[in-house]
Amino acid sequence: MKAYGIISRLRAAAIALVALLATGACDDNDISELTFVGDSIIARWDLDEYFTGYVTVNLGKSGAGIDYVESLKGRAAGRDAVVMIGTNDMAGIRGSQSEIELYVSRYVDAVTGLGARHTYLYSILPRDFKGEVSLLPTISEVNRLVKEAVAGRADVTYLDVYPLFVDGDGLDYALYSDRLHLSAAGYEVLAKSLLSQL
Amino acid sequence: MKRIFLLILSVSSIIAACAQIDAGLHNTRFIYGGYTFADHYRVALSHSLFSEKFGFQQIGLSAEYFGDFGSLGYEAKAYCATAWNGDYRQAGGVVGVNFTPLNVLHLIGRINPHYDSGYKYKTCFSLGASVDLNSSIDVHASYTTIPDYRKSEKRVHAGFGLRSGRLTVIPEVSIPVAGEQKYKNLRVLVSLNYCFGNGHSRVIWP
Repeated sequence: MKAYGIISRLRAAAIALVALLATGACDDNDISELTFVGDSIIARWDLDEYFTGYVTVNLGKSGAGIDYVESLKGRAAGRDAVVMIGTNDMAGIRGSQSEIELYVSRYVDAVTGLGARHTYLYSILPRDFKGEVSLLPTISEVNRLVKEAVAGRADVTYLDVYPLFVDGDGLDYALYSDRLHLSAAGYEVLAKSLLSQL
Repeated sequence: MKRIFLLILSVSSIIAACAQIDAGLHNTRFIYGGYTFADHYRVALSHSLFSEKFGFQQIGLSAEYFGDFGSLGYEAKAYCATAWNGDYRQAGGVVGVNFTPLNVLHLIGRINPHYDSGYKYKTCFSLGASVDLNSSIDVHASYTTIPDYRKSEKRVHAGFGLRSGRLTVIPEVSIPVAGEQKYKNLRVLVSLNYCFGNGHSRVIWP
């Protein structure tokens, strides 16, 4: 009798599935598509694992900086974009406040220049790679200014994940594989943050 | 009315006696239940376990015919699936062969015309081989473009097949061999199948 119950449930589910397909509930022109832009942190992200419900395009490039995003001007037109960029630029802009402000202005122009319908912009993550001089103050300042700059924009959602990757005065190393690139747990944090906004 | 009820009961009993029910997990992310009848036919229902909201979960249905000509096994399957929120649909077919040139060596090929309303049409395939280490364990590897989850990628799968009675468990790694994330972003996939009926255990996917 158990088998009959299972068969009955299978049949009911099959009918429900056919009905769902027959209603044409899916409009092929309204696809949930996400274009991911960024550096190696984006490039290494297993998007099909975390965002199976979405059509994803991974334009992450190892070693990329803001000039890479500038080169993609208009590339996300009509789609939603997810951007994480900047960590590879940080060593080069350790300097005056005016230099940081200049970088932030260029940063915001490059990100909005992608032309996305809506942009989900991650903060730059803290890093502590191969004993380099601490970049955390610079990263924090860039993040603060970028957050301010996009605060009034309806087409940009700022995902301030920086605090989630910090533990005390340093990094939460469990979220990293090498103090720069992320572990599976790190990507889990990024995914949760984004999925809560989609 | 009573006769009709008895007739239905008799036919159902015969079908149940000739049939086999199985259930399992495919690629860690899909649970499924299958119903095999007349030795060669199987229908199955699957559901995803993605790390997303329920609306983005996927329910699928498949129908399959399988058999063999001695050392040459074959399968032909049609399937469809949809996300509960209707965001995407999938449909396709699989034609596969399993050739056993030596007692312990199996060569496996599958071609998979696959349509996804988001990613559009793609002809996917897989080619691989497995070697039986003993009656309970095999080691296998394949090159595949058939999606692990939803997106077609060029990947190599390698792993073991472990059989015990009616239970088959397949742990394997899936390694991307193209694109920015090649070699770095591997997945650990687990599949398993348990047969409830009297039939023989066979590795069967949704």
